[in-house]
Amino acid sequence: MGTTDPGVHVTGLGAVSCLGAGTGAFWTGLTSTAPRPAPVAGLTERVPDVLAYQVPEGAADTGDPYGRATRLALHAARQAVADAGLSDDEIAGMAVVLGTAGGESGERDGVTTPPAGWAPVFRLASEVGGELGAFGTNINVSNACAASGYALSVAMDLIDCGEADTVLVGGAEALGWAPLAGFSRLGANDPELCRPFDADRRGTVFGEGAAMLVVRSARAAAGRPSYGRLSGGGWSCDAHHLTAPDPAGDQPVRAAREALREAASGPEDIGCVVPHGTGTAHNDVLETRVLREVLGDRLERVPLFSLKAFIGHTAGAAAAFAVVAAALMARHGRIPANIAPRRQDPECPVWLPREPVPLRRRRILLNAYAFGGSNVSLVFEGGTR
Amino acid sequence: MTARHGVAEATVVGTGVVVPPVPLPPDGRWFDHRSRLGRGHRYLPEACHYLMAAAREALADGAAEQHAPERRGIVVGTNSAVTALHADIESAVRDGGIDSLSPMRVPFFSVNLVAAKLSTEHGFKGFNVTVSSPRVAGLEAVHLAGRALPAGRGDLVLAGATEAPDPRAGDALPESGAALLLLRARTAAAPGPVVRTALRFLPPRAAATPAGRERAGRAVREALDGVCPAPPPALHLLSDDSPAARTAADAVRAWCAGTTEVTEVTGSRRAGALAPLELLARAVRPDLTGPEAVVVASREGNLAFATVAAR
Repeated sequence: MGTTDPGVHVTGLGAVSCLGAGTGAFWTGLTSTAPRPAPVAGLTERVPDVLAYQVPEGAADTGDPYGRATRLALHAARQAVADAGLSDDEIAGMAVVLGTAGGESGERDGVTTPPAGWAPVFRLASEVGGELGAFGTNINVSNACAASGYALSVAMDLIDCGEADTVLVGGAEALGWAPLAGFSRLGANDPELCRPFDADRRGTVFGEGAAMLVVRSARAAAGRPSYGRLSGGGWSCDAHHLTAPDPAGDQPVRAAREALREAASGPEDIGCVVPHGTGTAHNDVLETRVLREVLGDRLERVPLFSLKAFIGHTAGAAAAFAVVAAALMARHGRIPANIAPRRQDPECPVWLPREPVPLRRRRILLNAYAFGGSNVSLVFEGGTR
Repeated sequence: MTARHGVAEATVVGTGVVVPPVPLPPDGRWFDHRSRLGRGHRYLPEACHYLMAAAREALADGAAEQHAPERRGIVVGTNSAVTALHADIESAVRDGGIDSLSPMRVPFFSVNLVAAKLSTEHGFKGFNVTVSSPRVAGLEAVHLAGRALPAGRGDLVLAGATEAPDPRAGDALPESGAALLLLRARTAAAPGPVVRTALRFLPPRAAATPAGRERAGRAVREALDGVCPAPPPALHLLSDDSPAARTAADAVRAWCAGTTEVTEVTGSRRAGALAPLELLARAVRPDLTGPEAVVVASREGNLAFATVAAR
């Protein structure tokens, strides 16, 4: 695919996760390692079932005078901007749209003497835009675990309506006491691993990190290398329960179908699904049913790549990580082997290839769901780089 | 319908404003969730109470029922809606006692649940989005609603802000309350006032350079030209003493010189994003004719511009 195609082109990627810093380390990690979560210093001593997939010490130290979430975001953002080859002028005109569930709430943990001035919890997009010198529209999205999925969709809308030509978009999450202890109180932490679709799963395990993309209009991307396009996005809300998904599943189905419709695609065009797949009991079963409804009898033949088994649930950054993974799969032409469940849940009869498989169709469906029944699906369409 | 670069538009079909009275009652208690909302809402965070009450006001005429649940959306902006709960959880962890936390209340560590409650209460299934940029999140929400409507994501959107006091507001003024606009896509046939919004950003360090200030000035002029169909008689300006906010505010005053009276909103340095929404929602009156304008310039660099005018 050339960059003269219409739509929203992905021209730069950046990632910092438990797999290391950089998209090279990310891809290598997805193809060669099975990380394990570790206790969270200062928290697990007090809340014993808390584990997390953590960015290796020193991997993302930028020396920037910001909170950890912003430092992670900045590291990934600089990678993405460099990867896209943006000029200083292009960076200055760039919009920034960032998704985060917790923002910098972790900066307040264990701090008994607060600063004199007000430090807003949600300031990641502002600080990233400020540090990079980006004058474009600057938006911080906080839709919990679907935040960066909505951020990506908002970035697509900004380009489609002409408000921006180039958008730095993604998600970032640092570890904070409120979500990790909160999940413990709700009995939703798995004490061993993040193991989506495993019959023995007991909840999720959070991960920290940031995933960023540079997305551009066809005009701005003309003549530049592109990983591919974000060609569809769909939103919906269960309006059912604050924390539990609606068992009917009709709203996530609607979001996925809307994304496919916008991408002018059908189930037969989908070469891979990067599911939301968190490892919580109800979500994985429900998502399986959603995919059955959307993909029909192709469900058992469409490979899933269960990303959270590698990097944990990166919450507001999860969907951006999924798109970065999709772009790398498209670039390499293959889907890495999944970390196989020890015993796959019979209620989740999805195909989780245990060996790398070729990406036979260019379009990849990505799902992100959140507390509050907030659903977003995206379609990424691989190109040539 | 988007008439100008970077400007989002929508038609206002309802408003809801729930803010503390001035002056406050002697005991400081101004909102009773039992009398405003009925039973069963005790576990909800304060900001959620305010938002629910504002939504009931905005939806009082039954406008929502004309649209299918899948065509109704919500976009809410907040900076501090759940910071008090975060502080409670942090304190419980520090004291080694998270069992003391209510499982009904704990999920609200996730800030988007405050707006999500509106979807469950009123059956808004189109979408539910929370945005949170410092001090501008309310106008940011209206801007995204003004983008979502013409993009076909829905036919009716509740958009606005809700806040509750941040226990770590520092030297900024904590906010309490909620303000919402009920919006439809602007079309030639749609009656009702029109809200226009634009978002801009001034990297704070750029405020220290002549080139940065010049670029900021251009951005401010372009945004004001975009949201003002005619020079407004008055403009409400919320800014602070930071270099970024001062630079933007100077550009706003220069644009207004000779045509528009600038009202500096006192106590502008707030730990929240509610005040501009309250001003905007209150401007929607039966006698509204010319545009009324609200501009926010924040120390973090976020700038937001809005007008509401008779169509």
